[in-house]
Amino acid sequence: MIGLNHYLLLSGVLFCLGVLGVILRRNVLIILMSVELMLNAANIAIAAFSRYPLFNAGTLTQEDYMTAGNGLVFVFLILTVSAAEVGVGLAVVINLYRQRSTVNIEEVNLLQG
Amino acid sequence: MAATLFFWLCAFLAFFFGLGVIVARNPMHSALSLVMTFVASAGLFLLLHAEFLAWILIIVYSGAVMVLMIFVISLLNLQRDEPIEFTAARRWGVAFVVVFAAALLIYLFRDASVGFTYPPKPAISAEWGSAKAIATDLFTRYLLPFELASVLLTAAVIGAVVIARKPDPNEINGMESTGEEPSNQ
Repeated sequence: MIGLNHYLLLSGVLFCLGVLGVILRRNVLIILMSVELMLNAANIAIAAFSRYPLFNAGTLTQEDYMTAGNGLVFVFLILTVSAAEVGVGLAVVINLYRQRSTVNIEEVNLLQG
Repeated sequence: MAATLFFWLCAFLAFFFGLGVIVARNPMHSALSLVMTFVASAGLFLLLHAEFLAWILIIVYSGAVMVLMIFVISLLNLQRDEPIEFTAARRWGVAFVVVFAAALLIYLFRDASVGFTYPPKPAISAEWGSAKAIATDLFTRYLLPFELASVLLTAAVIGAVVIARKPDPNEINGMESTGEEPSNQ
């Protein structure tokens, strides 16, 4: 039987993959994709918590759950924010490539001098 | 148990394609792996009865956002990346992430209060996770965040156009104009 923990586990593993991508890769496009991977992991965790509320953890009852706000709204808002982030991020990448002809962030050290 | 099988299928697909995102040397392969990760995540959302979000994920993410990303990758004419070099700092980072993942694994397996059989799946109304339920919440309880999200999207659109636009040589000195892809403005 699949429970909350399975989703949390998968979400944690996907988040770790995203962090590894940000740490290891130097291509700014792949770093953007890794950030997307992390946001997706967070979305899975939120949707799972929304579906399997922790009744025992607080004073939440089944009636509260039926009348409470829908946690999926937050997933929806995160999707909106990450779409905006990709749009601006890709614009920055295009501008970067136009000026420096590279997407390797090791070679973009203008601010360090 | 069809649901259990479906969960593990989607979970392994999400994991392996997620791995593909960070190990592929060709950025295009990374992007396609990310699309498949989103499709697998949409399968998980379906399993959680979040049908509306599952389709939103496929249409908006796999459909629109990743097409934009693939468009940019093909626009930039990239070659293969160099293989990952493990410097000392990166080894520490990887070690930290692996330890974190192992701790999470042990915690989720061993703590009885969030044990694998707990909590039971609560009874929900049939339309939980449907477009109607989410829209009802969005337009009543969460109206302000919803409106702020649309302001954010507008700002992002304008910002993206301003940032990606070809710099006017008269306006900014010292910026070389490479003469590629004239922007439609």
